[in-house]
Amino acid sequence: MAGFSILGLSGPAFLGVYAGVAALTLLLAHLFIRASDPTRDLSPPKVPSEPDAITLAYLAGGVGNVIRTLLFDLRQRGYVGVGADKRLEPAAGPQSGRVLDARPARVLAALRTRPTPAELFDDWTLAADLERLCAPERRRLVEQDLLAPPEVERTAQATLIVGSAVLLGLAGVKFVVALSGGHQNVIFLLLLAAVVEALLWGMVSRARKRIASARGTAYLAAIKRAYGRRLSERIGKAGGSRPAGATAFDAGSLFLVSVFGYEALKGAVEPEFMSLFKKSSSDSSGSCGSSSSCGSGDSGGGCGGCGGGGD
Amino acid sequence: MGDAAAGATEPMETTAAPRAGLGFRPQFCADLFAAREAVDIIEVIADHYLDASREKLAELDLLADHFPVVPHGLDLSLGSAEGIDPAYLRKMARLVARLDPPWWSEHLAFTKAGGVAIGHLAALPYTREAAEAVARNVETVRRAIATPLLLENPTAIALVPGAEMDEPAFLTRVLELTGCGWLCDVTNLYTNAVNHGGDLEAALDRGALDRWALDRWPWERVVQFHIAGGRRLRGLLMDSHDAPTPPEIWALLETILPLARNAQAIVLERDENLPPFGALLEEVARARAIGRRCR
Amino acid sequence: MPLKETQALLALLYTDARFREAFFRTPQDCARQFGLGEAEAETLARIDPAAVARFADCLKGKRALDARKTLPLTHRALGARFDDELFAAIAGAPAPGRHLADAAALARRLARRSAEPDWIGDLARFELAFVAAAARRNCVWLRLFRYPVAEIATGLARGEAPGAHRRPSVGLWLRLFGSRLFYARL
Repeated sequence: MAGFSILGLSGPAFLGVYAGVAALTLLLAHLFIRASDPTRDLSPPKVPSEPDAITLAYLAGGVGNVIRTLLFDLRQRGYVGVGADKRLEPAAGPQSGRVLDARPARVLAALRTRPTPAELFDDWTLAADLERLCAPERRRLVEQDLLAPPEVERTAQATLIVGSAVLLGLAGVKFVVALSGGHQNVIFLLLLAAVVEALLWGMVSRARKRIASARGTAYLAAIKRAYGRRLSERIGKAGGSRPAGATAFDAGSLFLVSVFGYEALKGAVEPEFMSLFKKSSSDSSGSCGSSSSCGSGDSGGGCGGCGGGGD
Repeated sequence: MGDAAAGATEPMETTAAPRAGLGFRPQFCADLFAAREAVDIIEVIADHYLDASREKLAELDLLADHFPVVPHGLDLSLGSAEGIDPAYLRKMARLVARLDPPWWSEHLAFTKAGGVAIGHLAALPYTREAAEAVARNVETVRRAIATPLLLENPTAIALVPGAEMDEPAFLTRVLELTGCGWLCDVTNLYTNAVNHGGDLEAALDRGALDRWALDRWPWERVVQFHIAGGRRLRGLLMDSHDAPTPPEIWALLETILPLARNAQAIVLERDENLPPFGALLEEVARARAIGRRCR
Repeated sequence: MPLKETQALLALLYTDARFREAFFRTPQDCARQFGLGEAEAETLARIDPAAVARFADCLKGKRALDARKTLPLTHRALGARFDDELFAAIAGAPAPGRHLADAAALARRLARRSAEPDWIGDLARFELAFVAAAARRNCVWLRLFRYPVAEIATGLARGEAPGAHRRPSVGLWLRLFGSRLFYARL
């Protein structure tokens, strides 16, 4: 064994070893990042009876998601129009003379420049103002260990450095060895190294952007599970007739937009308005197509006596 | 709550008013969470979760994180002379272990025999042999599930001839042999009384219950009550769980509750024609109020 | 009365219409076939035929109710004819896994016959695929339909009365290791 060196392996054999090392590195990176969240073993808080839309919007997708939720609410209430050039603009509103709260008012103010949705979300002054206005919600979320702790970002950063050193270092040394030995066929090695590094980068980037902690993620999942059926009810209501001025997602159910995202509403609520928005990180991954009434599997009855047959 | 009367032969008397809750149906899941404080206990149909998908089990875990949850089985066929289906029992044991409830319940009936799955609760013949068969099966169940088991009195649409005793005597005999607690379905009691034993309502009014006399039932073994509404079908009462609990059942519950000193829960069953959730909550609140008044 | 034999007879009596008819014609002969003696047969023969019929009706009612819940859009499309079609498809005692088995029997019947509307067989198969897939840990199903059945289902769910033209469509149902069910229209 004394003369064995992985750098001395033939090209295909080295690629196999490199793939194994890469897989191990990615696995370890995932485990390190996961372990860095001290909330992962905490059970989530109880599902609230009256979920708060802004708190949940912040937890599900940060300030960007708060803007989305507020924008949707404003649109429902008639404050937001869409120009022929697909730019957002302020509209007359419900004419009720009601004064908007600070946060929706700030979002509405940002529409005066007639931004596209992308420009609205890139407006850093709007984001900074809303971050400040959401401070009470943020504090509550921190107190409940629902926001990703800074350790996650630090660990993710360290994981990127160490992982990249292993992956790129090993590939780099082999690259030099191969070239110095007169072997030019290194394209597969470079491709593999690039792909694996991109995967590592993606994993770390996702962890660094994470807003909810493991506990927060479990909390959001519990809320989605508890209130999921209300979303379909509300979507049904959105399609039906309702009294003038009434919204399908009123104050009590706006949180559904916060946690399920625009994606869950697309095709059913304000299709033209919704089509302006790209899928966001807080949007749910709706996988049951359009047939929301299919496949519930809740077909079992109870122990009652007669099944509704007969007369 | 857990160790109290459910499976013990000498149940301990409790002084706390029974909890009031309802049978879970996924249709009102969101409403239930929005009105969490108004519901003390949830009963789930165990069979809906025995072969459940990951989503259904997650739903169950979520319920168990927020409410005391008791599973209620439909198809264990405790009255089958040919014994218990071991595969079904294993699944039930897994479910009970997952929920760790204070008790769980099944029906005093049979649902399978001779290789035929009947698909509903069939009444047992009121014989000593049937009571002993139930006792044997309960013993088998106990070896797999230590959590106290309650037996529920079912409705008997078709009575089996050759009875050696009547329903209260049969139930008392089974509970004595098995040491189980009783899940007293008030609606089923009333339904059987009206369909087979004369007009219980009239008997209640008279203050004499004839052969349904109050002192013939083992009230001290009641751990949980079921209440539900049904309807008349070709002159007979059916426990179809598709209507509000009628006044007769409320009256009977009020009569029985002071006698059932070990009762710990009253659960409303509603499977079909679900009304707005507020209407169900009103029934739960009424059950709670009766429980408090009668304790 | 031997309980095991009595229960076996009762189970068939409650669930099998033909056996029920035979039993009430010659109860003692039927009882004997189950190993019951003369006296026991005589006792069992006293069972109330009307009560048995009521119980049997209740069992059918429960099966119909479960099938309606399993295939709600098919029920909506067929209306009052749903129960008739179901009962024609599920003669005899319930099969194991009754809810799914009954729905599958109905879907097969509707797909085989030329029932009205033309797309009803497709719709029943489409709905059944969701429920059957939800009951499995793993499945990769590709189903071919003669009609744009997903559109029909969406229309029905919205309360519309779809009148679809024949246009082939394909659905993919994918579920791995008990994960969330994925459905796609291809």
